[in-house]
Amino acid sequence: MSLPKDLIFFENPTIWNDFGGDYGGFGGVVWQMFIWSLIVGLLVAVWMIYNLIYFRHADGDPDHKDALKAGVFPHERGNPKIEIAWTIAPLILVSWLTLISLGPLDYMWDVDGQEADITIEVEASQWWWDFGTPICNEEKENPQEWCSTGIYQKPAEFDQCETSKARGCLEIPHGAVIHFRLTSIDVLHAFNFPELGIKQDVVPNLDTLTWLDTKEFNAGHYSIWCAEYCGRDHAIMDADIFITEIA
Amino acid sequence: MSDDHGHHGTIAPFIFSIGAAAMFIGLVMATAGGKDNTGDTGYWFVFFLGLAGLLTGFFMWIQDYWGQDSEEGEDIEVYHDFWGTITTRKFGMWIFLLTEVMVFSTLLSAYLRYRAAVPDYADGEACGELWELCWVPAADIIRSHLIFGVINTFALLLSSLTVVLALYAARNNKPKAATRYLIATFALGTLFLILKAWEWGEMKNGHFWSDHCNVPGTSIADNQDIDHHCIAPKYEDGFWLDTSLEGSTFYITTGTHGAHVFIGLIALGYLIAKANKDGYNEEYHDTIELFGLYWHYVDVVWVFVFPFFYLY
Amino acid sequence: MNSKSLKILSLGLIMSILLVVSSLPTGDSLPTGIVDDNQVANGCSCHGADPNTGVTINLSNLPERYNSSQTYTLTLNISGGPDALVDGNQGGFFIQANYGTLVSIDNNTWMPEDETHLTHNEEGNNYREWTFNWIAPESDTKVVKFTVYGNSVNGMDGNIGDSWNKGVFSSAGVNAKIEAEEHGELSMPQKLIYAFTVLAVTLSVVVVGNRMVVNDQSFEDVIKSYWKSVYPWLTTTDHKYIGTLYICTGFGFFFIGGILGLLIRWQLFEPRVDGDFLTYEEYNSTFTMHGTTMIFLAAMPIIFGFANYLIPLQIGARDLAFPRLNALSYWLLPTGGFVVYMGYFTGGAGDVGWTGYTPYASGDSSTTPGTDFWVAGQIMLGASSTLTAINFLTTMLRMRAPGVTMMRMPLFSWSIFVTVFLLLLSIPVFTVALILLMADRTFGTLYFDIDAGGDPILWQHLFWYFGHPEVYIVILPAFGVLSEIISTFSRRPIFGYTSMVYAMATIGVISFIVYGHHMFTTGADPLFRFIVMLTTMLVAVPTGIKIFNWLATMTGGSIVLKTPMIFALGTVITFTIGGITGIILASIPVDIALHDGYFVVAHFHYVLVGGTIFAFVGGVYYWYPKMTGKMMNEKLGLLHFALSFIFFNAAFYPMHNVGIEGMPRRYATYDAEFAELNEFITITAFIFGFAQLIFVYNVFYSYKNGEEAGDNPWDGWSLEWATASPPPHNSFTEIPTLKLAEEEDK
Repeated sequence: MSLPKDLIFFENPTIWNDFGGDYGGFGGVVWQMFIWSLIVGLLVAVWMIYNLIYFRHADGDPDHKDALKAGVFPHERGNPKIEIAWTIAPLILVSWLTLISLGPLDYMWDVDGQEADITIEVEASQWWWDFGTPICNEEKENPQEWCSTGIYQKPAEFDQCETSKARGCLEIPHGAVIHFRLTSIDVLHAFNFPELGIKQDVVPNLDTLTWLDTKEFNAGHYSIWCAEYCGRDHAIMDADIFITEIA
Repeated sequence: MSDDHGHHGTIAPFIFSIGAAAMFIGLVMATAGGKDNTGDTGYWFVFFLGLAGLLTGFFMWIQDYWGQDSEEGEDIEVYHDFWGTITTRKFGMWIFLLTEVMVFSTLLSAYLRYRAAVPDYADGEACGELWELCWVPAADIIRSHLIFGVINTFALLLSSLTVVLALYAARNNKPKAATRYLIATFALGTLFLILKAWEWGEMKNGHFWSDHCNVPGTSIADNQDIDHHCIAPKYEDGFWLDTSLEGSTFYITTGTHGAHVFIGLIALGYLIAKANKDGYNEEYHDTIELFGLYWHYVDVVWVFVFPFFYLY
Repeated sequence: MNSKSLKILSLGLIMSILLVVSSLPTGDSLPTGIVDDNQVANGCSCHGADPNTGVTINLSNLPERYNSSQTYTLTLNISGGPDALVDGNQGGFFIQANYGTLVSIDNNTWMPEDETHLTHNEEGNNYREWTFNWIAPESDTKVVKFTVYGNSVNGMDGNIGDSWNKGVFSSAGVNAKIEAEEHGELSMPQKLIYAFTVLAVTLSVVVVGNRMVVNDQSFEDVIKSYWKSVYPWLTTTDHKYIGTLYICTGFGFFFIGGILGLLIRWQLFEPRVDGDFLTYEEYNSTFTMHGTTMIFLAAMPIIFGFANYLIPLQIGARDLAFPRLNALSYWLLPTGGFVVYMGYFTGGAGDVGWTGYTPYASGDSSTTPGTDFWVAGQIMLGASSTLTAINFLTTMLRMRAPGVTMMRMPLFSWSIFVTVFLLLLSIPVFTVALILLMADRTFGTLYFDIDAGGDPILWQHLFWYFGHPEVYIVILPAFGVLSEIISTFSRRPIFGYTSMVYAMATIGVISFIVYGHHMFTTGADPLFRFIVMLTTMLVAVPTGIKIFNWLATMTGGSIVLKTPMIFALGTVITFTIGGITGIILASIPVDIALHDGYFVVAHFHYVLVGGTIFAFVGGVYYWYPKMTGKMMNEKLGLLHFALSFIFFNAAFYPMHNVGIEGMPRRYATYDAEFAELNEFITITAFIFGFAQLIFVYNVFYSYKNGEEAGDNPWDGWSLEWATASPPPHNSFTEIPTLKLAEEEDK
């Protein structure tokens, strides 16, 4: 990756995914944010350049009628119609951006509305992730075929995990809805799957939950990083998740 | 330096700040410094040195006021009438009280947030062996001795009245009466603090549970016998700020209020000394009013603290 | 042969035999592994006198940090050395650990009796890779050292062509402290403090000595004359002097905070292990102190400094309502700052982030007493700000000169007025929160204690209820400065004065209801979060109005491009970018992905540096002539701007990329995929930092050599331009009356 390329393009596959809601879902929100940012930014820049070109003071230029005088509150200057216009327009824009965010938002937070295929207890502590044995939801209406065979695995049995991270290593099947029940035994942490755009604070004395539908992502090796400052080894508190195809 | 309205240069703010810094440094080092970070008691010396600096700065500050006997030339001309209806100092005092409202709002809202989140022990929920999962309010501990809280409430309310009477007396050119009312206010405030300190001591050292309180087969609420000191297992060794959340919220909130009363009494001490020396009269009484505003505020806060902690 | 020659012959024969024997490969090869103490100490010297760097030893699966008593399966792999015969002898090894237990798990390795090391056996010497277990010691505070010898052989007789090497590996327990051996006992910040102190003392000695020589004065006389000029500064209650003190202290702390920032960037130049440059704990203190310094000890004092100096002038008053209280507000600043920094002298400054989230901040794992000092100092600073707010509100409502009605105040004054309301309502809440934190840490209360049922989210509510208005407290005055500069240098009134006022007031009010946007990932009530998203998006509307009004002011104006204006325009660009990324973060789904990552770091640096700092640097260039009577150098100003603007953007823009790619914030090291961009950011950040020295030089140089400024070098309208530069002792010879342009026209 060359440096200029790194600076121009944004490298994160997830944020362009369009799961969740109308108006293009999550990816749609990102795309709209990008386009409108560009438009507003260019508007400001172009207008400023325009001003700098056409309204420069040259020596000897006469002052405008409402030029400033020390000790005198200046003339009123404005144009109510234009000002209302550039009040209403941004109002519409931000309302639109809020609206299109609702779909992906509901999708992400409507945890109770879906049934998990697998539930995994995650315990965060300073400074590692501990995964409980994944529990398959046998009572689901259409349980996954592999549910009863227990193919998904926890750490040490799974040979792709570096044994140094035996506690912080997990294999989950592709094509399942996974619920992570998050608890912390000491301070705040945050369960963050950067590549998948998932983040949820892990709060002591509070059970939080985040979920993942592995159908939406490619199989492979992903990393979880802690995303809430938790002390000395916050930067090296990672865990490995393998999403595997169950044949 | 600017000579306007008598505010010449002064070293007092500098000394006061150095004192404050030394107090905090001393406090932190005395409680958390030293080799194993559990406190280096030698630093209490620094704390008291800082306190001395603070008081020095304070006394230097009030030097100016000590010599005053009239308010002429005190205030700055106002060119926009609406805002000139009260003096600058009174204006400042009102805004200061606004910030104080924020202080007590924060303390009370933190307390109420916990009470809303933690189930009350009397609601029959599972409370754990020592009832640590439920809220056992300070009010239950105080209930058998509520008389002191009531006396305190009346004391404070009465003291607000005496301060107003002091102001009226001064305005009506009765300096001696003004002084007497100020002393009465001081006495009532001191009574408040003494009763509070005694109350706190009783609560801290009380034993609010013992074996005879455990009656098997009865409900949680039934086991309570406040008159016979059966309040909650978690208060067996007393009720202090590190016993439970109920304790922390109770002592910090009532303590902050008590600290405000204490500081008020220090200011009142100054007023009484000044009243003794020069007397407050119809020419010179604004200071009483300024103090009165603060004192009323302290009273109003108590009117909220009392029901929230002593009755609820 | 006679007996003599026989003796010689036999001696010779024996010698020869001994010689030949000794030149043969020493002993047998050790197909059964290393047992001999000699080999343990010296390696596979039989296979070669010295270790050969052509042989690479790899010990994989060894954790950087081990957990107590955990079993790890390690693989030792040797590469390099001679090609081996298939199925013949290929290699051998020896491994020893100074803690924990090595366990053989297959038939290729074994542990000799009474030994603690593992080595190969006759089966195992046909490979160059062996796998075995290591059980970590029970204590997780050790640093375990593994000594490894790896032998690479060609399987032929003798040792010709064989080579071996030695390797040392280590694994530290999760709670082990890695001694920073490279920098002795001093941490990097401590070294910097000592270095600067030495520098300051040396400079003082030189200056005093110079005075003594040049003026032929005794030491006491020199000190007395310095005291004579210092004492008035310690006792002043004049708003102009206090304002100057605030500005200088603020920029001084900005310099210190800047160094902390550069320490951060140096640490992040490349991925690092603990202790490589800073220890992870030191790094955590560094970003904590950087944030706290920049917000509370740099930005706010600079703002209060300008407010102190200018508000009385702009409203036509002689001083603030409570001048002595003002002095107290000021002096609580350097003393409070000193208390915050005390941590550096007591084993480590606070390491809780400027946000101080509990229970980390209220618990044992945060630095002690560094964090306690961090809390205590900020309590003092909170008191300072509250007193300032009371002072300014009283002043601005009561002491305006004739003609200065509320709707005829300059926009900088209005910005301070709204700011002061925010201060009054938010700072006390934070100060109380700090007191609760201090009570938990020092007196044992349980507000944030997890075991007692404490709620970490309580702190977040209290903090952000203050924290969000706080960031508007630092940006609104910047808006005020921009309005002043853009209007003056367009030589026309600001476009839409009334809307500008209402926009600022609206921003102020909304700022109290959007704080939840810092808590989107906490699991708070969904309705609360939705309302917060909506209101956060809405704050873009008044902000946008302001930006458009500034641009409209320029349209139809007569623009003079001097340094203040150039900085102001640069600020509009960078602040717009920062504002846009703020709206991006306002959308909850997007925030979930980007929260606590470098995208957020980019956003707030764009608004705080690109907004507040650039605006106030422009403010320095703008009001310096008023405060000192001298003009600053334009060429240096232009150079300062060019370097600052280019390298600020170069350093902080890529943080958007790195954040979207997933790099979290407050990380002392990071995944290698982020290295290239981080290197670029570090280099450009250093240049940005050094560029500020041009500004410092300009300030000092112009004080001596600047052109005379006159009363109104920029043709501004507000009342500060209607008095001398610098203003006389009591600011105005007589209280002015502000006139109205429409009246003047008649």
